[in-house]
Amino acid sequence: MFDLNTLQRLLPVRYRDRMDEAVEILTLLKEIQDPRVLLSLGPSGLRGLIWKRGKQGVPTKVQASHSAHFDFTYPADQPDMQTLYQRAKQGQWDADMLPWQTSVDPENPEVPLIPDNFIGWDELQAAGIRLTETEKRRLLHSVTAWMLSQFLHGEQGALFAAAQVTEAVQFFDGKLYGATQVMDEGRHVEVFHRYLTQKLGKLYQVNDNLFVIIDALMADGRWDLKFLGMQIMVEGLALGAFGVVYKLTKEPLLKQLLKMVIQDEARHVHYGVLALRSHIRNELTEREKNEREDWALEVALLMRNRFMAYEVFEEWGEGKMSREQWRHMVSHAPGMIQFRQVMFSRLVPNLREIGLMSPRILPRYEEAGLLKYMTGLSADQLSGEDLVRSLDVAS
Amino acid sequence: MIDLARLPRLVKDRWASTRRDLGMISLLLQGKHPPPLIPIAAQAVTESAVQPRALRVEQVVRETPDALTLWLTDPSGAALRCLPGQFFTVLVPVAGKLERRAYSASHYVADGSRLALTCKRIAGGKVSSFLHEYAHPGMLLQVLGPSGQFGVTPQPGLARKLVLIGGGSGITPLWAIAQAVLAEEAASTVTLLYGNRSRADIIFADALGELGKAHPQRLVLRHVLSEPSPDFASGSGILDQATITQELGALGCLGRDADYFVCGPQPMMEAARAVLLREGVAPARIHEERFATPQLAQEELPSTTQTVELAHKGQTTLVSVAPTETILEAGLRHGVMLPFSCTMGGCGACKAKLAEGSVAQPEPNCLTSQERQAGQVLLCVSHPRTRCRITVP
Repeated sequence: MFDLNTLQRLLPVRYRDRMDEAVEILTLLKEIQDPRVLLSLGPSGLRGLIWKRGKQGVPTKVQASHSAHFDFTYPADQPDMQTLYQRAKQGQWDADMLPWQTSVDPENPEVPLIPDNFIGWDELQAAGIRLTETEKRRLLHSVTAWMLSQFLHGEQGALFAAAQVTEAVQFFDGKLYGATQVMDEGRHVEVFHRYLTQKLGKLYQVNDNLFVIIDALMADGRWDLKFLGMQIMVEGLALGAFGVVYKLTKEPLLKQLLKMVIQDEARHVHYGVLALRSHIRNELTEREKNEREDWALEVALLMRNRFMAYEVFEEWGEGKMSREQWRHMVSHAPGMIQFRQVMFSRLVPNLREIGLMSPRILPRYEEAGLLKYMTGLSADQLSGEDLVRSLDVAS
Repeated sequence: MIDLARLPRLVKDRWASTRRDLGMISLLLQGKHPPPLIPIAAQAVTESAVQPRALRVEQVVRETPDALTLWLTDPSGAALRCLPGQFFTVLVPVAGKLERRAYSASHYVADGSRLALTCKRIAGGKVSSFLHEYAHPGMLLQVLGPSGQFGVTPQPGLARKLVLIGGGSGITPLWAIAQAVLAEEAASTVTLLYGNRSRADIIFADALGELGKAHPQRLVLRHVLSEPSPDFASGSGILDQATITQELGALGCLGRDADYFVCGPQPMMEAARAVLLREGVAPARIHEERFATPQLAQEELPSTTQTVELAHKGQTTLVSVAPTETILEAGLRHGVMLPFSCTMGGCGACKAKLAEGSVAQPEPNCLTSQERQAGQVLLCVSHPRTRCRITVP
């Protein structure tokens, strides 16, 4: 029988890595079970994974297809969102107020950006790669810069998506709140970009899978799907990811920066839960609900399984180890495992809260090992201060 | 409706996009991938901690078809003092980048109530073209300075002999020196040897003539033109070694008792230096001012942030320097009060000792070859290539 693995072994190294990439894309297509989800993610997949639109080095356009929802009667329709709007106004902060004068030496072991165990050194060694202490510090620097770069690219997506959602949402109080979120996301782009370029001196390209998700959200005309994707999935994951780095970093500027960002993000996810809860429960047909349920799971898995820091591999490991070995290292590194777990501990309770965890889908979450997060608190039960406090206690 | 006029552009854009998409597939087929990193040096300039002051243009005087003088005042009423011969740095944003150019104070103003900067238009020059096209009364210009060691401190009791050798726009600091010495030092004499292409290119032609008339005993003026006119008294030729030797000899200025101030195009300056050294003039008596904008090619700029250890006034500070900023800018941003003046490698105020590491430093700059060999660097134009340790005096 035709065996991909045998073929792969016969290829020269660089082709082997590309082949690995191609196989990964094919596996992804095979894994998506709902044809409607495949149809909605497919074009974005082509643009992101094959054409690599995010990495072409030139600006790229994504065609939007949503409608702007106007209401000239200015109804006070959502008291919860109004409260959130008030909180958001009071919670605004100026990025210039962060202690930018802090000296950041990304390779100083006494003030590590992330702890050593973020990388599977044993795995690397098993693959025949021995690094000196300096090289180790540099690799940790690169991995941090990679994560923060993806945060930055995600924030750019969030900025545009927040603007779209503000146009498309049907609640008037939601629109006012949305305006504050647009401002928040702009500020997040500012701080992450500034930190990466001025303090870490490194900026990685957008990860192909992140691009696919952003592209799919921007292009989809259904407002609730944009909400689900941006406010619940991307923001939810970002919240978890920021939380991990906040908890682990010893670098004071990054810690302070993330603390401020986390408090904003908590509002964003809260808004997503408020907007979607009644919509999904009351407005959608069973079929529509199932589609969103599947969509959320696929995107969650895409985010969990595909963020393998391949851009760091391309910079560091290529030729020294295979792409497969790298993936194995990343998925087994203690820090990365924790990273993925915490990301989902925020996401799953929110999906439950908005009603996208019906008994129909639970076995698949169980299979993916994500069901253990079911009992956590959802975003509407947690404030930004609660979040930061719980992280402080845990660290 | 499709707008037919836009059609070619739409087709062109779509074609370019398709080509990029296919390019990515072609990379994949070659076993390659797009670069993992985004170059940071290509990003816009970061906000600088170097704070210039805004001066108001009061008057724009056209000196020749391609030279103009900007008369500036400080809107706060503060005096604009400088030593005759010193220069100022003008900062002009061009295409998103802050460009810096040095212009000498070209007139001696004893009370500092105003400042004259004379600027010659350079073909393709970003800042000079900007000033020639847009400078107008009322406009505010961002200015740093004064800077530089070139020039004289007028002292009424002195009786000295100054020989000024200038070419083209190199006259600007010399003109201020001549005015100051003639006004303040009653016993000093000035000889000016001034080379230009034609009579129309002589900056301050009339004013020079008038100053000569006002001080017939103390100012000797000699023009040399490569395209002389029959109705204008001048030597002929370009200021090379032969012409300079001949002209200075005829003027009786090849003695060892004079101080020489030289400013002009590079070949002229080299020629003058060679002649003077050959005639036995002590190097300490030869003063030179070079005007060139030090530039680093984009590819020479480091692409990563580096840590620099700055030892200054008994304190050591760790400073992270982004690829887009100089060590000076990063130091100031971190609150280290580093000395600086022109910020373009022309004055040496920010000279420091590189004790460890390596920096990218654009040429030409004001460091001498001895200073360079001794590990001196100019913080205002240096970008660290590696981790560095620097001692600032």
